[in-house]
Amino acid sequence: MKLDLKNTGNKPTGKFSLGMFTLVICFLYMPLMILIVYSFNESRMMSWSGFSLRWYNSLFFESKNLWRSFGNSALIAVTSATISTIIGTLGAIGLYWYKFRFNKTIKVAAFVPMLIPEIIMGVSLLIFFAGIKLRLSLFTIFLAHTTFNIPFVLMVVMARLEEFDFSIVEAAYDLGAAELQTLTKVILPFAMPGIISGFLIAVTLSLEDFVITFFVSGPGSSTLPLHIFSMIRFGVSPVINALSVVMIAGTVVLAVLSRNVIKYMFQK
Amino acid sequence: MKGSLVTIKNVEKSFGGFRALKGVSLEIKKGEFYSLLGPSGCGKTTLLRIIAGFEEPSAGAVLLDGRDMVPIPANRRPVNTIFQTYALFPHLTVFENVAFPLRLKKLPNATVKDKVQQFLELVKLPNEGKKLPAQLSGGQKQRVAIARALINEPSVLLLDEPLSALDAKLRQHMLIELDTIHDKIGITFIYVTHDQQEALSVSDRVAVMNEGEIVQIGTPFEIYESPTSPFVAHFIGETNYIIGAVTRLIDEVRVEIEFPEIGAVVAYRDKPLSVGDSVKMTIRPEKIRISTELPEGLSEKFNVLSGNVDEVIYSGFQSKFFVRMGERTMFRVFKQHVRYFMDEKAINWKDQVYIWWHYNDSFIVEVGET
Ligand SMILES: Nc1ncnc2c1ncn2[C@@H]1O[C@H](COP(=O)(O)OP(=O)(O)OP(=O)(O)O)[C@@H](O)[C@H]1O
Ligand SMILES: [Mg+2]
Repeated sequence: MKLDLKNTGNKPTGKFSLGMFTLVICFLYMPLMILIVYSFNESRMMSWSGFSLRWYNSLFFESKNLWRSFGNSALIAVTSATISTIIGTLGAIGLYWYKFRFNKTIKVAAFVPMLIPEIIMGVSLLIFFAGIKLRLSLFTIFLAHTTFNIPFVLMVVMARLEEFDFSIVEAAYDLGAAELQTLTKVILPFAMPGIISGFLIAVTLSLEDFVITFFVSGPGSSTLPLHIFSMIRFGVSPVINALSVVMIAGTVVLAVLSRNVIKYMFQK
Repeated sequence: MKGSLVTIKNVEKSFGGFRALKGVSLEIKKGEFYSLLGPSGCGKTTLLRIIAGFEEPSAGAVLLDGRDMVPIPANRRPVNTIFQTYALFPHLTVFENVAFPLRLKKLPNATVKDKVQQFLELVKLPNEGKKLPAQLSGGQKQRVAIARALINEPSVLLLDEPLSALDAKLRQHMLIELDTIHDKIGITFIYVTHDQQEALSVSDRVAVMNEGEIVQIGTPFEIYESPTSPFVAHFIGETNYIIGAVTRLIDEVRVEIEFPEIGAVVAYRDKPLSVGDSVKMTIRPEKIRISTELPEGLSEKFNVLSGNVDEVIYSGFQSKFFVRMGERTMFRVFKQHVRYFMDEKAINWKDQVYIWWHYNDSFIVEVGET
């Protein structure tokens, strides 16, 4: 018997994949939906008792410490992402451009921090800072975040450069460009989408990091994730729901924005 | 040396233990369209990259206008390259790609604009300046690469198989265009290709390379009509070889050779020979005529043989006949279809045919050792 694949397959598969899709979407977004709904709940309990903005009010006007932690997080995210983007980009270009003896070894070694469990990274950084007698503070958090961000930037920029036809570098050189001009006029502009995504990834990783930050933060140098964790220890406050909604909204806006900016910059 | 723009003297290049170039010497004149022709892996690109400055020769000298180029880095040599992959800057528009060398020199905007426009017109792309390379066809990218390489007004333009990424029709067209540009601006072109048709049709001179060595240098005519080695004869166009022994030195320009399975044939004599020498003779398939009947009154300057058609390959403008003379002897004969349907009599598979050629067209490419 000849199997008519087209007829046996099409419709049931269509239904199946649609069902699957719905399930996955529900699974992914249901918790978020519940969170959003309850952030507008009057009561502190899980039962609905009417619409209210009181948790938003308390978030924006009665949570000074939370906003201080947020400020710390933002500061660390931007600075560590910037520094790791610079180092990671230069590293990627160096590894791409110059073929030297330990090129491959360094490439592999650079990715190891990505694979090490965060807790081990946190402990080892703590031991390191203690060893060099560096007082735990925002600065140590910044150092730690820069450390774990570099491999991500390196990877993203390197992936971008790998698409780059090396004869383009030779062409620039051939047409009279010096090394630095080739770097600034040809390689950097080409790598820019990778550099920007690397930076954004670094910002995100830094903002959300808990485990490593937990080890290397000192008294008074709390970040947002640490602060939320400490809040939860005294019971889940609906303020956290409100905060989460604000953060989700912020993330969505940022994601759409950055996507469009990248698109605008590079596809014209 | 006087009169030559580029001089390459005994250039060697080794990669690890592998000798990619084994002592190459060339003299290229100012304004010449000079081709480096050879099979894949023979070292053409390596030689070109040494001239461009991307590789350093292991030994030997590269002179440009009498000046030693080896210590001068690629970005300061008055030489520009057209890469096989075009190597356009993907983030810059066509205009900015072509303007790139001028921007590096920080020329005033108005000058840049005029000059870029002039070169875009030279390559027939006057209206595509605002596009990005990704929005161009292969042929257009090629033109941008040409304009960009020429705008610096280099004394030598290096081209590494610039047409290999184009389809056959476009390749013909671009080749003619390259030739036109060469005639217009008059700078020296060094053109690398493994396509003998390309090399023959546009070059002033051709250097045939094989395994890191130059095997013959000459005009396209010389390379095709009088190859000095079986390699060149075989690599440039199709040919027939047969091995026989010299039986008689007829006069200054003629020699009689006896071939097994065929008998005596008269060939052109351009090198010292003596009776009894074993020789390899070559005759191009298009120089041989073929018919089922022997034409009357054929001059004695023609060699006439007869055999059976083993195979016929019809290929549009011509047919290729494989004519068998014996166990181990077969001749390839190309017949141009001038008036196909009115040909005296169609030649078919298994027909008994006569073939004949002027003795001048058969010559000896190798003596002894055969
Ligand atoms: N960087 C390199 N390292 C090692 N071997 C090389 C290198 N560049 C070229 N070769 C070798 O040198 C030889 C000549 O290479 P080249 O690229 O000059 O050939 P080509 O004549 O341009 O061939 P093609 O027509 O395929 O482009 C080849 O055998 C190649 O493998
Ligand atoms: Mg090559």
